[in-house]
Amino acid sequence: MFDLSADWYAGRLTEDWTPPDARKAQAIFAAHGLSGEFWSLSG
Amino acid sequence: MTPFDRKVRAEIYRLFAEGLVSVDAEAIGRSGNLARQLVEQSLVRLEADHRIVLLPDTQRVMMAHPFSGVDTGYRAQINGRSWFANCAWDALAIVALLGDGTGRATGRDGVIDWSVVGGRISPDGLVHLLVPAAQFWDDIGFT
Repeated sequence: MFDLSADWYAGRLTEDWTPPDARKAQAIFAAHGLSGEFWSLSG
Repeated sequence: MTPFDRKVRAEIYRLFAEGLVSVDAEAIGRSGNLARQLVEQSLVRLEADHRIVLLPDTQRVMMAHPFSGVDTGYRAQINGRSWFANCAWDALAIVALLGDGTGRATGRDGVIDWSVVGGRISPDGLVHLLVPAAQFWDDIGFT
């Protein structure tokens, strides 16, 4: 959970932060074992 | 985001990170030397883009994830300082962002009381999310 939090919010404090698009967000979830319908951002 | 909106967003996060709870257009404008009216307009755009959430009918930031501008019962504590978080996930995120992985995440009147050292959480716990990821922003306050 900590690693997910760290990855999800990485760079958030900087002025040039850009929100992750759905593809990148999905990749963050997948990198932490979060998959399946509950975690799907498509559709 | 426009360059101005980026500047406002960054100022919001800077103020929360410093420990300010009531982050509003006046505070942002004063701190960032930005025209208040322009800040107010920016806050509306940032909220529409889901970058922040304003307290209803105010120019005060309620949520700038992971920070909360209200006491939700969730907190991050680092070196004797404390920040409101929106949820358990966000409390851990504040420890990651400001504490280099060391701090404490608490919530729900002691039901959650996690020590975080070097990114390792103890004791073990379970976080249950009710809302599927694609619907997080349907009602972000509920999420």
